Amino acid sequence: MKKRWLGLVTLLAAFSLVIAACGDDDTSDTTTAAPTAATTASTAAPATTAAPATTAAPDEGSDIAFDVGVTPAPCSDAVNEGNGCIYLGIISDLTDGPFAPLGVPLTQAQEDFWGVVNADGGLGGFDVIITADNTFDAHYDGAQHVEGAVSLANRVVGLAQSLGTPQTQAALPTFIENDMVVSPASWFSGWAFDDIDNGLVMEVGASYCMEAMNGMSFLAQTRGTDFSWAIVYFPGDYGGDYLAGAKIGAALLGMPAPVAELFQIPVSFGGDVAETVGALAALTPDVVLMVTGPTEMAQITAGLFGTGHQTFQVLGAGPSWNVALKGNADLMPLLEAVYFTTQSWGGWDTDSAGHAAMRAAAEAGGQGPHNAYIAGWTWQYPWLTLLTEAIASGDLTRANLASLALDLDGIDFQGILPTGSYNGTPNEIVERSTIIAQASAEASDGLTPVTDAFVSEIAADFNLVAPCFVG
Amino acid sequence: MNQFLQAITNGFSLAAIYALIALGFVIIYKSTQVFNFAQPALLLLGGYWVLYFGTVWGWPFEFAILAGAVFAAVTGIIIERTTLRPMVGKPVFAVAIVTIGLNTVITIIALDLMGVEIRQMGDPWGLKTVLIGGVTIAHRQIAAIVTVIVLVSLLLAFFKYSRMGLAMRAAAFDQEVALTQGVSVRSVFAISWAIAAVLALFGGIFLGSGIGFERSAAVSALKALPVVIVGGLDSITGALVGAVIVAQAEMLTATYQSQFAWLSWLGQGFSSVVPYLVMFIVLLFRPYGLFGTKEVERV
Repeated sequence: MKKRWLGLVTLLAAFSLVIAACGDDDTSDTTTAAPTAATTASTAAPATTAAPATTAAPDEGSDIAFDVGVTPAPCSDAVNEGNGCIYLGIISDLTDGPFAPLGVPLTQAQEDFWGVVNADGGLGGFDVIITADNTFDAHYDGAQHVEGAVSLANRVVGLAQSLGTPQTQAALPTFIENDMVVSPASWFSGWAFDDIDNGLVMEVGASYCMEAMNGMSFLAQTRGTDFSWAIVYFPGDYGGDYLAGAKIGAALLGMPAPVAELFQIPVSFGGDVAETVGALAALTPDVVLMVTGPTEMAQITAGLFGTGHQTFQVLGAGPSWNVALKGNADLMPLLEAVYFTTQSWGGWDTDSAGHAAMRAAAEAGGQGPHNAYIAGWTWQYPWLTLLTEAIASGDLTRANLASLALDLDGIDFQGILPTGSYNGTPNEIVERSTIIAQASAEASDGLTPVTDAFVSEIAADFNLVAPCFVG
Repeated sequence: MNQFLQAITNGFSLAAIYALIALGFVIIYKSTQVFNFAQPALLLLGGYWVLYFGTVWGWPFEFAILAGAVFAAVTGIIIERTTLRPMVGKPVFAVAIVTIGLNTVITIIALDLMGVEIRQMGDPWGLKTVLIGGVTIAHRQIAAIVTVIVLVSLLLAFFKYSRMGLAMRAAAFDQEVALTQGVSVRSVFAISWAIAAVLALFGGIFLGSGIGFERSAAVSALKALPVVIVGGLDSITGALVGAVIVAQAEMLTATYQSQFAWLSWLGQGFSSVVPYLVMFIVLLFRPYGLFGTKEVERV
């Protein structure tokens, strides 16, 4: 009998080995049936209601063409019974992936954003809704992301969130095939290039590449250029883009090359930080760039400190922070001493109309301060502009949305970011500003800004003619 | 030299955690001949109970452990009573599938309870370290090693001197003979699951202390699989030795691989693979593990 047990155990262990080695996640998830979207053009004429910060909507009674993801019938649990319904979808990391702690508040922010729009009467005669049925948990896994994209392709007008750069890239063929406009929950420099995404991915904020260049400039200003640095990064375009930007920045600033480029498998995929900590302890770099999730950042930082190398500084990419780390009374003093991060926009307490609206929505929903909530909220402004323009043009079909997204202009972020545009070459339109923040137990979201939004000289001069990272 | 000693020290601390999880596998296997694939889920749930009592209810850590251990033990007994006992006499593969199903169900429950955020365990060790002979040792590492020593001593004393312990040894040796001698095999099964659940809880405590407890702890618990295969499915000594071998191999690889250019072709992250590599090597030469009982099958 024991032989059979051993056979079974060995089989399962081998399966675990594959998971550990490949950094893949085998859990699966499927969404259940969603509201059936109208698939033929219609001439519904929902009552027009003014929406906040939008462009003009068509007059009441005008015809609006639509196809997938839009219905003349009101949304389930509609705020405005007389309105039609626009369905947006989400593909996120909501349970056990490395960014689940960020994916949940990010998704909540996007639901709340449209809740506020609907509460104000909707958008040109439509409510906009993200239903649970149209929210897909892909566990930060490319294959499941594609599965989510395929399942949502016949149900939603586009995606309010597609979390993860490599995952969004994996699903791009589906998005392109179906003319699905997507808000990425990522900052890949390649999203600025229409030949990569057909203009369907509406990037917001500075890319990882620009963020890293600004970060290296910050380091040069605060420490000079003569220091050793290493980088720990997740596989794929998230880590790759930031790494590329950091190396470009280091070269332009006359800094040395990194002493180590350490590839880190997310711990939720079976990765272990011991190897990274061991390598860093042997090299004792002055600065460690952390392009990981919050868990890996915290474990590596604490682990490295524990080895006796206690004079290093950490510069983390935006997604490496999670406000939940504030709850660790032992860890926070260390992070306050060493952790800095590059962020695309101001933190929770920033004084802007957009931040104020975001805070009000969060408080109404009982959501506490969270950097991911800010991101989720901010990523919806291009959708607001796009849908408003589409309604104004009388055409909510996906083809028209895709066409409008290509040259979308005048995106009002209510002061969270400067007015945005996708109308121009990548080098002309790309956002280049970054805010450097430091861990702080006193700050509501655990981060206190140490700079205003700034564009470093090297980022300003950088001629973006191709993505910084090509996988 | 310091680096080597540091790696060895970290290895022993990791071995302590692996041993806590692996001992649960071994105790259930010895008593019931069931390989419990639900052990990672029990770790997750046990860890959750401790952090719940410690941080949500604000109880002192010692009381949180005590209350958590009671909940974990009861959970183990309930699982055995409701899902494993009806499977007595069924094929081993069927029972294995049941424990895999249990693992899924309990994991989902535990994850729903925990939420997605990193949760603090409320432990007193935090990130405090002590420097001994040039080696930095975290307080939680010392606590893990001491805990294993204490728990293993208690277990050995329990098996040697208590009536239930003797009954469990008898049942492990031969269930039918034990039954004829008046041993309540049902109680043995239930107590085995209770002990395994409590051991898993301690594994969860040490995986979650320091930075915090989160769902990836269940993934780490999977590494106890190679530990029990290396040590032998039915040997407590084997679980301890297997834990040390696997953890040291993993930690030494993690420490030194990047420093040897000739090992670079293995790629980063290879240390995570090492436990399974060690397992395969041991299986090649000793299919029953280093300390497992060789089974003689007569045709």
